[in-house]
Amino acid sequence: MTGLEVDQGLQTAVAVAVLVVLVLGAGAGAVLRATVTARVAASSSRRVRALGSAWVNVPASALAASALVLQLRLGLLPGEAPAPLAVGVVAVIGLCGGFSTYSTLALELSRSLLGRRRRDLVLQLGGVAVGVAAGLFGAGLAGVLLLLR
Amino acid sequence: MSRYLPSSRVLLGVAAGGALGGVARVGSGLLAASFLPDLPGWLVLVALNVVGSFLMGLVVARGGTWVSPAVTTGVLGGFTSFSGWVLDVMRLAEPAPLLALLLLLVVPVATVAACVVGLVAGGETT
Repeated sequence: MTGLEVDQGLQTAVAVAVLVVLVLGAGAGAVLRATVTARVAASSSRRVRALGSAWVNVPASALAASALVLQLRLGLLPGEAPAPLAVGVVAVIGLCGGFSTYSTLALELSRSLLGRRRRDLVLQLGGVAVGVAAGLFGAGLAGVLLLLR
Repeated sequence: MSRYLPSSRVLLGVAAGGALGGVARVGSGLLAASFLPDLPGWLVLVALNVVGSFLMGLVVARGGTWVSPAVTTGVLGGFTSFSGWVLDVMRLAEPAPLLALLLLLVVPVATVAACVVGLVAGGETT
């Protein structure tokens, strides 16, 4: 076996590992989300139930942004960095992708809009804004950690 | 187990559905990149979020056996991504700030509109 064949084999293995951890991360993220939203859905407050889908995205947004910044700034890309580290970062991004969602958020926003529940709508849009801010915060935090390193 | 937690059967269904939705999302991105290499990745995720939101409205409004946590929370939840959207906005912020702002404002409106269309198409009136 030549060095080139070994290199290609390694690249294929890393690509397969990346896909596998993305899939596993998405599944694990969905289970975490279901667990959190089930607890929220059990709340006696209708308002709390309506807000679950908007606010569940906040931690995932911050964590995904941190992972992305660390991945790009430290060069932790599949095929470039040591495979376990690069695949680990992809797993975190996959987990966040599975944990966060847009479709259930859109459903809750639509119901508030159609039901003319303005206060719920405002609070849900607040959740969207906080989710975006959490992404910026996560990226900033990763940047600070890199500076302190 | 707490009574507030879903049963293991439901969680297993959500895990399988989430994995399936995630595979569909990643697979769609890879397919788009190979067949339409000039199409930017953020546009693919916008399309997936809009389609996923439409399907969520349609499935929920139609009701019946399709409305299970495995399909809604799992498949459709995994097919769409909020964190991916935030990452795309952040990626675009430096090279194309106006486009990032547009993405930030348009996606919530487009996904809600798609979900409302799905709900109405599925027969839900309120």
